[in-house]
Amino acid sequence: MSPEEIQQIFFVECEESLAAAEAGLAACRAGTQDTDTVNGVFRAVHSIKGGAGAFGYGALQAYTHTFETLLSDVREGLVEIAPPLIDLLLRALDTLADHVEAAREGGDAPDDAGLITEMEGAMAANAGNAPQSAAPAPSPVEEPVQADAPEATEGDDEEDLEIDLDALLDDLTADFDAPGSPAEAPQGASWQLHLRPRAGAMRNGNEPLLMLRDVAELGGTCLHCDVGQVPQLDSFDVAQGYLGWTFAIPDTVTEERVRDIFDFIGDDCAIAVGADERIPDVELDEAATSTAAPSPAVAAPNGPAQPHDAAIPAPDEARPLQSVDAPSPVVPDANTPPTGGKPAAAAGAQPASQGAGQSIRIDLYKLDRLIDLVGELVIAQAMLVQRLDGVHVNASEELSLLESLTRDIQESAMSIRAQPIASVFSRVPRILRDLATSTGKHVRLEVHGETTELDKTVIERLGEPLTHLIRNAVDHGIEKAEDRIAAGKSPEGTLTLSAEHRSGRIVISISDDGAGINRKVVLAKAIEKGIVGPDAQLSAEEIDNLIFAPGFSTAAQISNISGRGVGMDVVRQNVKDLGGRITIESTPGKGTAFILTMPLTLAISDGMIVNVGDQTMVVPLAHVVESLRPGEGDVKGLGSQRQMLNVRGQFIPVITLGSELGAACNATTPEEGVLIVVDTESAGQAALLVDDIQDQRQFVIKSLATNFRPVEGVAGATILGDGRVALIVDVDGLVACALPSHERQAA
Amino acid sequence: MGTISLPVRCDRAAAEALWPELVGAVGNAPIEIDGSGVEHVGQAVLQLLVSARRSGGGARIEASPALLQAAALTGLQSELFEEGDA
Repeated sequence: MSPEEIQQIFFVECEESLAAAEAGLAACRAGTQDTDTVNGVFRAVHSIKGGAGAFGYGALQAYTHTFETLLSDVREGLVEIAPPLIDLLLRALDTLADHVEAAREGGDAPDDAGLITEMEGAMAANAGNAPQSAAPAPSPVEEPVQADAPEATEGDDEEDLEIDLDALLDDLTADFDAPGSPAEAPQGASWQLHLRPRAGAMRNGNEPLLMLRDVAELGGTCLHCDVGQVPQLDSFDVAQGYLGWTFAIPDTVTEERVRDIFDFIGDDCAIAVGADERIPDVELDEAATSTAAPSPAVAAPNGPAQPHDAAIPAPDEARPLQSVDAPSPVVPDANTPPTGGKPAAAAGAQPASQGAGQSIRIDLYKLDRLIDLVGELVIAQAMLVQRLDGVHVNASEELSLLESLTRDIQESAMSIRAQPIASVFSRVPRILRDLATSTGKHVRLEVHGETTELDKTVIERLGEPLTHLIRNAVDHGIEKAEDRIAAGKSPEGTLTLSAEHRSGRIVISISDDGAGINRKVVLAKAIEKGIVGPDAQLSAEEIDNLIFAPGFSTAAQISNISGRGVGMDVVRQNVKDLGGRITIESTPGKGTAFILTMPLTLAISDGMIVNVGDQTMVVPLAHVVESLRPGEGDVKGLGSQRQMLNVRGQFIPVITLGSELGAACNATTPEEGVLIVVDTESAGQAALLVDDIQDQRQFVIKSLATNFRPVEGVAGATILGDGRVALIVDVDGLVACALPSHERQAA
Repeated sequence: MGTISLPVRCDRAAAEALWPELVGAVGNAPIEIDGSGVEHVGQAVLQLLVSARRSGGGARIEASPALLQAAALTGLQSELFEEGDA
């Protein structure tokens, strides 16, 4: 693993830390101001600082140091958590994100002087009110990660995080000079620190001994090591932490100074302080249990167990804690009671968070390759079905088993790529803060369904349109505070983001409680810009949809918020490119909701396979409303060219698919063929005339633009079971192209 | 019974590899462990050595300076290296 790759991991972890800090601060603002929440924010910033130091990002490190110190004050209760402070912390976090961005892109560090002064002010200003004014502000934490970490990485290829460990272990032996042998009592007055690293303290390149070294460097001396909990070899679990220590720390060293050392690993190291305390009990971490063969005698000597696989739960009751009442002979201090007396009774009491985050990082390329292969598998399976059908082999049971397995494999593979939409939603608070600064509109955010998962590519490409919609909602949707008060609303607007799965698609809604779309203004503007004719009779929905028309902008003055050259038409195009659709629901005075319906994945979709002349085509199922064979009189002629289908009293235009795509259609009149009623973004509903419907099944989408060139009305191609290529109809494009705007649905 | 050699880097991965080897070596006689080449050691291996000392016939560990240093830091010298203390 090269230093660049390690650096890449650092930035990925930065993103995670930033998201965690953002979530923590949001929780604080919402009223959850407990120790865990504040600690979480602190740890997130602290880990960025650690990495920044290791990789030599001076500006980032210096900035995080100030930020962290303020957070440390907050955590210690020296600074009270009040709304202005949370605002300051949020702004500090935004700048931290900019710092990380600058470090990653190699750009200039953001101007943070003002914020640093402000943060320092917040520390000093509140020092007088501190409940424990005796405690000095924590001094700068010694950086446990040395700057030479990346260089010391040769040799390890697979284990990303071991690398740091090696470098750190180098450190341990290179720099360590034990200040005094442990048998000696420390000079002068001292206090006692009891600690027991848990399983998590040894994971992910963490090494408890490094922290002990830091303690020793502060003048700490080991008084006692509790080995009573170490089991015999046959019940030993490499993943667990069995050792516990009591250290004597000189009185000159403050408790928070020492606690800072262990902050990095949080709950993974149990700590107690004081002569009347003792080493915390062992808590076995079931999730960490190594999966070495249950019968160790037959385990291959050279087959190291996978450290992170938690498939086999720890057989807790079968794990005797050996010699529980045999304290180590080196107990020089009578104040340290033997800890063995209480076996690990609290194993279940540990918060579940430790086992929850079992994950590995995978190169995206490998994943995409897997998805590709699954796509090929789907095709091969379809081919097999077709071939067997052709020779009348009756193996329907096996075939349906194969089909359901293929579908399961596909879904599992897709779920690997799936990510919670929270990664997009988590950026929204920042956008709203920026908007609040530039527009003066304060907006409250409500988020629902942020754990909804969808494909990583969709998530990545969703960010931009979503950002634009949010900017648009705040800029145009939500009124100014005084207008809101006049309308009897709360001065603070509310933006609601929600995501949910609905019949194989994901529905994302961005709704505001603003004024709603002013249809008069929109229509007037559209007429003025020549988007619609001056005498056009449009339904409310159609007027709303006009804002997606290219070149449309209603803001009297183009603001630099949403009027940055990217119109709503681009948003719609982005969504469409993702195979999604966008619709508007607007109620005057109540607000507007933009609803995005997105596919869960871009690679495989469900479609209706239809015949048109000698061609086979695929109509994506997402567009299909219904299919029908019209009866006598269901289709009426409109002029010489156009036919309209009467669907339960509503007339929708009929489009002959074959003639639009240049394929000879056998069915020349709707009565001879089948009509497929489709829903489109821009042109409402239409009925596609095809010869007949062959099947409805999954198809693998192959890009026509990549393999050939873009073709109007065609979204891509797929390979059929018999090996032939079938074109996938771009329903939106085709209908929009076939129908002049005045002839669309409500015309 | 042969001697089990500790690798240069005694990190957690090393502990995972050593454990089955040590389990296979437990018997009435002390396990001979050669740690003279150890340059880095972490908690995972230290506690594994403690366990080996306490299992079966115990273990005799030949220590490198790095291993001794780590034992001194953690207060484990007598636990790991004193004869007749298994």
